[in-house]
Order: sequence, then C-alpha cells, then structure tokens
Amino acid sequence: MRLLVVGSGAAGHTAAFEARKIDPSFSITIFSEDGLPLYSPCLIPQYLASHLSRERIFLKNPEDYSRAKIDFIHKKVTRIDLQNQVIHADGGTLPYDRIILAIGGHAKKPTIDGIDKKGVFSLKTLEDSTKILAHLAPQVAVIGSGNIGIETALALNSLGCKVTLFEIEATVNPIFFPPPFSDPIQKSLESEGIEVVTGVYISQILGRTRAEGLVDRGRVRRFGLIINATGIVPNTEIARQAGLTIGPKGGILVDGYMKTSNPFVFACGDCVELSGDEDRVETTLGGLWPNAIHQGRVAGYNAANKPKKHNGLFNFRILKIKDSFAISLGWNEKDLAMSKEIVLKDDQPFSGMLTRVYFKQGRLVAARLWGKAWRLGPFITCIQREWKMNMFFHILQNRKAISRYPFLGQLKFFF
Amino acid sequence: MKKLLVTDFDQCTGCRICEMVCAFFKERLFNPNKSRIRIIKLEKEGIDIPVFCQHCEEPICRDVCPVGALTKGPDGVMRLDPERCVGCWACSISCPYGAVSFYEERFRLCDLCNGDPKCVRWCPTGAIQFVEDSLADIPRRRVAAESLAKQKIEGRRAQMMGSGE
Repeated sequence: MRLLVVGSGAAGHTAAFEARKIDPSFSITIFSEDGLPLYSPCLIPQYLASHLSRERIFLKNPEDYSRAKIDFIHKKVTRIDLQNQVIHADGGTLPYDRIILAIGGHAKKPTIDGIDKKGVFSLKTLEDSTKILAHLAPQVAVIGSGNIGIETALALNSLGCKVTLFEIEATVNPIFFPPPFSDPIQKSLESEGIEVVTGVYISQILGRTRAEGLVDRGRVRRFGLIINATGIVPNTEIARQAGLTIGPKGGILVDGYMKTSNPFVFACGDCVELSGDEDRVETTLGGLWPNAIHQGRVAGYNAANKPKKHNGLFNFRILKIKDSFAISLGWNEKDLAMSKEIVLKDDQPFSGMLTRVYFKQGRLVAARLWGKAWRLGPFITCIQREWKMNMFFHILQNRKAISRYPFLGQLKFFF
Repeated sequence: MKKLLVTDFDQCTGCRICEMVCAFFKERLFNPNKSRIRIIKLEKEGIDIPVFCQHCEEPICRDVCPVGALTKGPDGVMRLDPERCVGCWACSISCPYGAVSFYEERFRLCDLCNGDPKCVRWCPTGAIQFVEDSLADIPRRRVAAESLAKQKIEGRRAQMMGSGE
C-alpha cells in the first residue's frame, strides 16, 4: 500500500504519523511545497515579536521522518489523475493507493484597489514572517481584526512599530465576539498603544510601485508596511482539477470520515469543508489548529483502513492580550445570527469577567468569555457531547452523578 | 496491563495529604500549588473530589496544543514536555477536569509517577487507588446499572400502586 500525503502542515503530518502508527507496512510519502519540516503557524506572531527563536517554532526534526520511515519530499504536486491513480509532481509521476490532501489555505484577498502592490503582506507561513521582518517600518497598518490581525498587531507593537488596526465592521473581531466583548478587547488593545479604527471600508492602497499608504474615510494616511489579515480561504486548485466535489463555501467537501467524493482520496485541515449534520444542515469550514490535528488523525486512521469518525468541530480560540484572555468556543457569531431559537445568557461572575453562553433548544452550542484563564473544559465537553441543560442540573443535584463527573462542579459558577 | 488512578469519593476526607505528597516528591517543596492532584471541595454538598489527569482516550489537550508538547505514550500516559511548552494556556483552558495546573510560570500534569503514584501510597483512607483498567470500570458500571435499575423499580412500584387501587 502506498499512501501519499499532499501538504506538510499540521493536518498532513498528523495524518502521516497516525497512519504509520496503525500500519508499519505502509509506504508513506509527504509532499511539501516549502521543504521545511513541520512548524507551528500559531507561534508565528510570537516569533515575529522575537519572543521565540526560529528553532522553537519547528516541531519536527529531519531525523523524526527517517525514524518513522516516512519519506519527506520537497516537491509541488501539480495534478492528480484519479482514473489511473497517479499523481504528477514537478515532472515526475507516482502511483498511489490512498491520497490524503492536506493542502491548507491561503490568505484571502479583499476587493481593495492595489492589494497586489509590493509592500502588502499577509501572515500565513513562516516565509511571510521573514518577509515582514525584512520590510519593517515605523508605521504599520493591519487590515482585518480577526485573531490573526490582533496577534500580528500586538507582535508588531511590541517591536516598537506604531500599529493601526482597521476593521470593516463596527466592532473588533466581529466573527467571534459580540459587542459586549469587543469593547474590553478594543480598550485593552488601545491601552497597549494600538490605534483601532472600526467601521471603515478601505477603498484604495496608495503608492506607485510599492504600497505607501491607504485612504481612510477620504483621508490619506501613510504606512510603510500594510498587512492583510482579512482571513484564510481553502486551497482547492488540485482538487478542482481532479474533479473532486467542492462545497458551497469553497472547501473540499468531506464526510465524517474525512473521505472526499473519491473513495481513495481523503482530505483534512484548512482545505476541507465538513458536510452538515442533522442539527446544522449547512456545511462548515474548519480552519483551526485543533480541528486540523483532529481531522488529520481521523484521515490517517481511515486511510489506513481503520474506521474512525470525526467528533465534530469544536471551534476553540484563545486571544491573549497582556494578561487577559478572550475565549470563544463553539459556533461563531455568523452561524448564531443565522440560526433560530438561540437563547443567550449573560453573566458577570466576578468583576472584570464577562461570560455569555448560547443555547439552542436547551443545548449548549457556544460560549464566550473575557477575563482570566477560566477552565472552560466542561463547556467543550458539553458542546461535543450535545448535552441538554436539564442533564447539567440533574448531574449538579445528584451526589452519585457528580462523583462521576467531577469537572461539572466547576460549572456551578455559571448557573 | 494499563493501570489507572481511580477515586472513591465517599472515602475522601479532603485532608489534602495527596497534594502535599505530590508537590514534595515532584518538586521537593510542601506547596500544594505545585501539586499535580488537587482537591475540589464542594462545601454545600459536603463532597471532596480529587481532580487529576484522567489520561483520556481522546485527549482534547493534545489536539489543542499548538506545539505538540503534550503527548500520549504507547503506555497510555499523558506527558507534558516543559521544553516545548510556550505557555499559551490552551491545554489548561480546554481540559474538562482542569487537570493541567499552572503556578509560577509553569504548567504541570500528572504522569502517574512512572507507575508508582505517591498520592496512592500516602492516602490515609484509600480514597485514591491505582488499579488495572479492567477493574477501574466497575464503579462506572455500577452507577449505570443503578440508574437503570432505578427506572425499573419505579416502574414496578407504579404498576403495583395501580393494581392495588
């Protein structure tokens, strides 16, 4: 059996190493576009702020591959031939029995005039961060205030740059945090010395050959470095050419076993779109480190003929600003706004803390928190196990049951 | 054979000797903050619950760690690599048990003392036990069986009441 893993991110690596654990007889090959061993993209802002050295970002050594008997090839896969079960990579061809696509995503290009100019960078790969470090300027604009935007802004701010954060919506980080949460986030960003401009549509990036500034509400502002942090979109080029089904949101459509429309091709990581379940008919994009790891594991198991089902996405995001945490669990605000029968509950358990939990038909679907690093594990478990609220109360009141679920004792603070 | 830590909550008196012992054997200091096992006291209910790493089958902490510092060995034991840890708090926030403790800029996780847990050896009431995993399931089975039996007994009682009238 020959297993080919296309893409060398977290999902691809997990899939390859899990498949190796299950079946030592497999021949496993990882195709890497950049030729770098596995590194953690979550740590790039910390590398940018020089809190971490370049070596610390890398999670695998070249020896790890030879020890696991996994071939690591620095080649770009150009085409997959599903009929003949062959892939084309940099001129050569290679037959396969199973493929795992983990081709990840790339930075979204917003419809701004001049976004392709030199001096506009996105932050997705390690290469991007070295480019940004080479072009550092005293005045920096960050377009988009998602988690990547805020973390990049904080990193560049700690390097001594004057950072301005632009957001098209009325509040900071609107996809993951509702207004009562974005206020303290914005305040703490401003107290760090970052200028936050919300509700602004940037129409144009100025500069003849290089980006030199942008137009903000009719006012010309000069920036030496502009960072595009408006989001990540799945890479689907190879899958589209091969004729695999692409979902309505632009990812490679997979089922709960990470199988694409072809039974010998699996996909995992940022490039996939999970088909909906009975509760949410719509498909969802994953696009987070924990999801990539979990999907990689599921894909690795299934590619090695050991059936394993995906547990469902648990979207878990932490934003750390100084000593405060903004934590978002479960569905994002977009999905919550579209869904009916959402009941929310706000609370302030302690001063300086904010919590909000969302229920749908008595079921916990999402939670938000601002404050200290509260242990939110019970929430994740409840979202994953789809427990109803009366189940909570039953357990909280029952002495025998609480001894089986000791962690639920901590939930008492919320209800 | 895999072995697991299990607790009998009815036996736990909340004396916190396990915390002291854990901190002492791991870091040579009698400081409960440095312990891998913590006692949660639910004062109203009068229950004391020792909380520690359950070495889950599908650990969430391993999936969320952005640096792969948490690994599950072939023996089923979770281990935290302090060299790799960058202190992002993801494991601590996502653990359902709150088992990853943080104190003095360091995260701590129970590693079962390489097969000889000191908390078990020093527990005065035998509330914490280190048993083979086939035995560890017995209390859980008992709870499940009791709750099933409860329904049946109630149903039978209702039937008897109905027939009596």
